[in-house]
Amino acid sequence: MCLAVPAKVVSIDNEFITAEVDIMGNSKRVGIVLTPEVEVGSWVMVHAGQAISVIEEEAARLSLSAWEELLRGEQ
Amino acid sequence: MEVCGTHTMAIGKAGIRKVLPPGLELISGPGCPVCVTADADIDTFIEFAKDRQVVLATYGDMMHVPGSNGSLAELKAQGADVRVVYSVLDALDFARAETNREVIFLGVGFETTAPSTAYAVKIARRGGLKNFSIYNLHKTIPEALRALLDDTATKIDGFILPGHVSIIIGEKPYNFIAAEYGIAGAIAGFEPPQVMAGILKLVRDINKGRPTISNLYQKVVCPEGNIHAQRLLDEVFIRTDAEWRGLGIIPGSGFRLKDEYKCFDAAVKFKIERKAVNSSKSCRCGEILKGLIKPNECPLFKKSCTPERPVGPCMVSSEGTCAAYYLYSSF
Repeated sequence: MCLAVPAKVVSIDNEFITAEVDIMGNSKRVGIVLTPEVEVGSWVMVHAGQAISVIEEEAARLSLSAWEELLRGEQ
Repeated sequence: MEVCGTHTMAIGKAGIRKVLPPGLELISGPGCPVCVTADADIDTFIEFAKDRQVVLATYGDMMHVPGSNGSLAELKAQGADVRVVYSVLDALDFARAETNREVIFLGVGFETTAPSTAYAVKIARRGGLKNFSIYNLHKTIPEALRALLDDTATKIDGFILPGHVSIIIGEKPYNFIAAEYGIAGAIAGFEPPQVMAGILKLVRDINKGRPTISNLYQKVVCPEGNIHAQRLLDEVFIRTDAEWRGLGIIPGSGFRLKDEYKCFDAAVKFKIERKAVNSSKSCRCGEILKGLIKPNECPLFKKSCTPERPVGPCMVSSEGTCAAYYLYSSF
């Protein structure tokens, strides 16, 4: 349940404190109240509809490759 | 012990147990929010869902958890309005759109998830939403680790600490593990090499006789955690005792809404009595959650208890220990 997925921030909506993010090719609106420092182009970890941490691209790519492997295993 | 259910699944999938040398054993812990939810709470939220005025919004994991008389999924099949949501904000949207219904959100999860619920309650109060409430089952990990260490039946030499809980709480709340109990802990990521690095660090600490709390997931976990999330939790909740399956009532391991947010507490609003459950099921989830036994030591495992027909929550949740052992059965 504490799964978190890396996502790249595409745009930011300051009025609703949300961001449009790209999660493995899917577009999703997530909350950014816990990561107000986030910028367009940042990588974040998303959990239950909220970005909970801003991370470096390298960490995001590492996590993404693990996710891709996991998803491949389920096919 | 790997505390977190996501670690349990990662360990199972990668086959890490199979490559460990003799004498080194990984025990799965209580880090699965669905699994540690007490029977009395399961029965209570199922009662909520029976009210035809109510929309019960929940994360998908809770749908198939069996209570004394069925699950939310069964109730939904009988016509109850139970909706699976991705985020608590979806539940807020239901409340805004359907003002003649009462929307109850099941607040389940550890520190990773609790800030989102706190934020939703804050937004609901700000927006004057009268038909939104939460049934708060959020729990905290460090208090559960203390309860495990205080239990004389457990034999834990080190903890692989949960990476994503740590994003929120940081490193400091774990310091007592080494300082007071002389037990090592390593915050680790979820890829196999990261888990292996966590195990190696624990073994080195134990062999040196110098237990520490180390953060091996620094690219994601800041030492101080997520300050914004911590402030939000402090603003909306106060700590309270909480009942955990298998571990009993753990002091300070739950969250209660502060008085100014009390009108969003479903337990207060709907006055459904939370009744103690005398479980006669021979399910041994409780002992599995404490690491006292392995799933295959439970007489129901793979017989009357399977992911299709789970008897206990450890088999229901995608990150439950029994589900992990079932899926990766050559453990």
